[in-house]
Amino acid sequence: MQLEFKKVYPVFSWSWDIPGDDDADREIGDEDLCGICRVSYNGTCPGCKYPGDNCPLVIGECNHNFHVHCIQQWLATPTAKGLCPMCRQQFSLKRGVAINEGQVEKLANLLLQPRPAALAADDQDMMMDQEFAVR
Amino acid sequence: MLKLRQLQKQKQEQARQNGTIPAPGNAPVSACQLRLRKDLASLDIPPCVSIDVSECESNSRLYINITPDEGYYKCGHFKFCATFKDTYPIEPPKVTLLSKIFHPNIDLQGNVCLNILREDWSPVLDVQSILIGLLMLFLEPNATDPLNKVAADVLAANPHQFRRDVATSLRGGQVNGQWYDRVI
Ligand SMILES: [Zn+2]
Ligand SMILES: [Zn+2]
Ligand SMILES: [Zn+2]
Repeated sequence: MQLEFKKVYPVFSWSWDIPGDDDADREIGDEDLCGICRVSYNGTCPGCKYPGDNCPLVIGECNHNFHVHCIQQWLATPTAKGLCPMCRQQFSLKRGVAINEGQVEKLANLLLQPRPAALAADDQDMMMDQEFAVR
Repeated sequence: MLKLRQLQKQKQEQARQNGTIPAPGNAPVSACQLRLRKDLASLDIPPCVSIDVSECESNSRLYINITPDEGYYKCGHFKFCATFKDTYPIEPPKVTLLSKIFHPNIDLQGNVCLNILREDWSPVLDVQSILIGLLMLFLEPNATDPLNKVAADVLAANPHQFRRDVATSLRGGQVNGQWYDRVI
């Protein structure tokens, strides 16, 4: 049997993870803001110029989302004790979430970069490295 | 009250103007100042609290005035200075009371023992949370974990005596050999 294609109608479908799409995030406010810097998830942390891949979001196991740079700064302090700033549970990246997958390598690289002496000497560094691992 | 509302309006106006795009020619705005502006724009100030904004923009310093309308410290005027370093909100501001008062959780130098300004700080807290925390210090002074041991002991042993001692101290009197500032 011979088939002949006369026309092709390509159909695409796509979906995206919208951070702050579940109830756990509503407590941040009406808009979807990073609880730390109070800038929209679609914007950048105060240290970055370009949103998106340059200043990615991460989703915690507890469903709290932050700019990766914001949460990293917090977890680097002794006060943080590795806890989520919103719910004070141990902060770790949520498994199987597309938005996090892209960050694993980036995060690993970030963590490899030399940090200021004050932070490098900090006991919390060890903890931070562990906490950032996707389980 | 009118003044408060004007202040809030002013602040919102400023925040809007300052927004995300700093005015040309201005020095780059620090992360701390950006966040602080957002905090101030969203403030919901309780009636017994006011904030001096005049001095806050330049050096990230806020003056917080509290006049409790109930409790042991009712009608006292208490002025705090909150200094925000560039690390805010990752680190809490340093808050000190500018007068010497008789309070279990505030020492004679004005250092404040408030959990959210220390071990329980979180970068999702803001100026609003600090205002409420400071106000609670006056409404519910806490005899555990004291900075002024004398005051804490009196509060724990005899709340009536504590009330009298506070009243004396607020008028600039002497309690247990120590003079306090007149704040009433
Ligand atoms: Zn952020
Ligand atoms: Zn960033
Ligand atoms: Zn959380």
